[in-house]
Amino acid sequence: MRDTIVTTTTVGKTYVSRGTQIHALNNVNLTVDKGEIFGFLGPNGAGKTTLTKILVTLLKKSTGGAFVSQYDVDKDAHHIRKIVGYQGQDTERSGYLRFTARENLELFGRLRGIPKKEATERIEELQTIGNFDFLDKYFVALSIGQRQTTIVMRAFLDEKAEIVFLDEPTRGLDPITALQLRTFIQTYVQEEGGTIVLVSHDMYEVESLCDHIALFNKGRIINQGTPTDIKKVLPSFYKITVTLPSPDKSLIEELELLPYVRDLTDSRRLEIIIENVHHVPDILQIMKKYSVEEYIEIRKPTLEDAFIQIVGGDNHD
Amino acid sequence: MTSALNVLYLNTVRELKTYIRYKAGLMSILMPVLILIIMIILIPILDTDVFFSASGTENIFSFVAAGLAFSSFYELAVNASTRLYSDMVYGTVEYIFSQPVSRYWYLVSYCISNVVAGVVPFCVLLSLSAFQSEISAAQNILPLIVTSVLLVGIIIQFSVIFSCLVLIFKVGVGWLFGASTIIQVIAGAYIPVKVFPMWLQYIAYGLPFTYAYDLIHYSLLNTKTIFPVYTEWVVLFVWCIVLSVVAFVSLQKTEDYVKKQGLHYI
Repeated sequence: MRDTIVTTTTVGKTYVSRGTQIHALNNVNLTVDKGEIFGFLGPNGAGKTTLTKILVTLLKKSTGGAFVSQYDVDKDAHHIRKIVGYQGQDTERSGYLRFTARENLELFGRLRGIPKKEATERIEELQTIGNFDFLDKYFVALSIGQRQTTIVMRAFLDEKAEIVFLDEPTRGLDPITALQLRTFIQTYVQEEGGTIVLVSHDMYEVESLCDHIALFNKGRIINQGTPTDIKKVLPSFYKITVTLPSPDKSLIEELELLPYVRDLTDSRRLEIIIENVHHVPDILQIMKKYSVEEYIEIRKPTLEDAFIQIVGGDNHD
Repeated sequence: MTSALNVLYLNTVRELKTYIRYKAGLMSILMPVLILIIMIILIPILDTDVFFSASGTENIFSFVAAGLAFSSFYELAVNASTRLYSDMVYGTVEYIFSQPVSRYWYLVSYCISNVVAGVVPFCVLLSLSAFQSEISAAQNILPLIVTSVLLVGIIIQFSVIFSCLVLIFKVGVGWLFGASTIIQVIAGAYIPVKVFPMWLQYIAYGLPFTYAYDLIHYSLLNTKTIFPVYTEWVVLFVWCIVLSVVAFVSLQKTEDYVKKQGLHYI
C-alpha cells in the first residue's frame, strides 16, 4: 500500500493582478509518496511555485483540497509548518548579511524551535554531507552559490521535517556548485530518508534526481509519472546531431530528400530526427560522403525532448 | 511552536547585533540627539511668555528634551517597519512565514529591538531633561514609569500596524518618518499643544501621543495638563487596549490577505 505524504485534489488558484483574473492553477491532482524525490517540472508561470507555496501554507488555494501528512493546508497550517522544510525561489539573499552563514543557520534553526545545541550539531552534520567550508564567513561576503547553498541547508535544518520543498535550488549556480548541491540532496535522501519535492526547470537535474515527476503547463498537470514513463509518451525517435565545421547547403538538401527524416534544423549544428534506428546507416553513409561522420552524435530521446514535445506542442495550440 | 518569548528574544538580539556590526545603522538612533541640538539653537527665538502661559514652565530645554526622548521611540517604531520591508524584499519574511513562528511576536520584535537600541539616546535625553528640571525625581518616578509603559505599548502596536501595511502594500514606509515628525510636533512633544490654533488642538486631542507627552512633561516639569491627570491616564490606557486589538486583528487580516495574494516582493 502506498504511503502518501502529499495529496492534492482538484486544486485551483485564482488571483487578480492589475485588474486581470489569473488562473495560476487549475484542477491539480497529485500524490507524493513518502521517501521519494518528486519533481515539479514546467516552463515559467506554469504553476509549480504557486502549488509549492500552497503546500507550505504561504498561499491559500481558491478551490480543491490539499493535504500534507494528512493535515489540511488551510485548517492545519500550524501543524504543517512544523513538519516542512522550505527553500523558496529567489531567496539567496534571505539570510542576514551581517551574520555568518553558521550564525544564520543557528538563528533560523532556533526560531524554528530547535534547541541551540541540537541546531549546532545539525549544522555540523549538514556541513559534513555537503563538505562546505564557508560557514564561518559573513553572509554578505559569500558568493551567490555559497549563499544559495546556505539557504538550501536551512531547509534541511530540522531533522523532524518529514518533507522538504526546494524551489529551483540550483538556479543560477555554476555547474560545479550545482553538482555539489545535487550530490548533497541525493546523499541527504539516501542517508536520512525523508521526502523531497523539487521544483526545477533543469531537465538533467530532474531526470537524475527524481523518482516521479509532474509536468506542469499553464496551471495544469499535463503528465506525471517516472521520468521513463514520461519519455514513453513520446513517439519513438532518435536524434542525430552533427556539428559541421562549416554550413553545407548540399548536405542539407540531400538529407531533406530522405522520406523518414522527420525534422531537420538548417544550420551549422544539424539536428536530424528519425523515427527508426534502422535508418541510421543511411544517414551515416551521407555523412561519410561529405566527410563529416566524425562530428556525428546519436542519442535516444531525453526528458528535455519529451518536455519540449509535450509543453512546446501545448503552447502552440 | 517556538515560544513567543523565544521569537522575541532571538529576533531582538539579532537586530541589535546587526546594529553593532553595521555602524551606519546607528545613525538612525542618534537622530534624536541631532534634533535636540537643532532645537537648542532654536530656543532663543521662541517666545518664553507664550510658552509659560501654555505649559506652566519656562524650562524649554527640559520640555523639548523630554518630548524628544519619547518621540525618538516613535521614530524607531517606524524604523522597525522599514527594516521589516528590507527583509521582505530579500525573502526572509517569506521564509519566516513558512515556519512555526509567531507572526505577531516576530513583528513586535522588530520594534522591541529598535526600542532597546534607542534606550541609550533615550536615557541621555531624559537625564538631560530631568537634570535641568527643578522637580524631585523621586516624587514623579511612578507616573513617569506608568506613562512610559503605556506609551511604549502604544508605539509597539503602531509598529505592528505599520508592518502590516508594509506586508500588504509591499512598499516601504519611509514617508512615515516625515509624517511621524509632524505628528510628534502636533502631539506636543516639543511645543505645548495650547500654543496651536484651535483646529490643530482638536487634531492633537485625537492622538494618543498628546496625552503621553502631556503626562511626561507633567511628571518631569510639573506642567499644566490639558485634562486632569487621571483622565489622561485612562485615555492612554484605552488607546493602548484599542490599538492592541487593532494590531492583532490587522495581523490576522494581513496574513489572510498575503496568503491570497502572495508575500513575495514583486
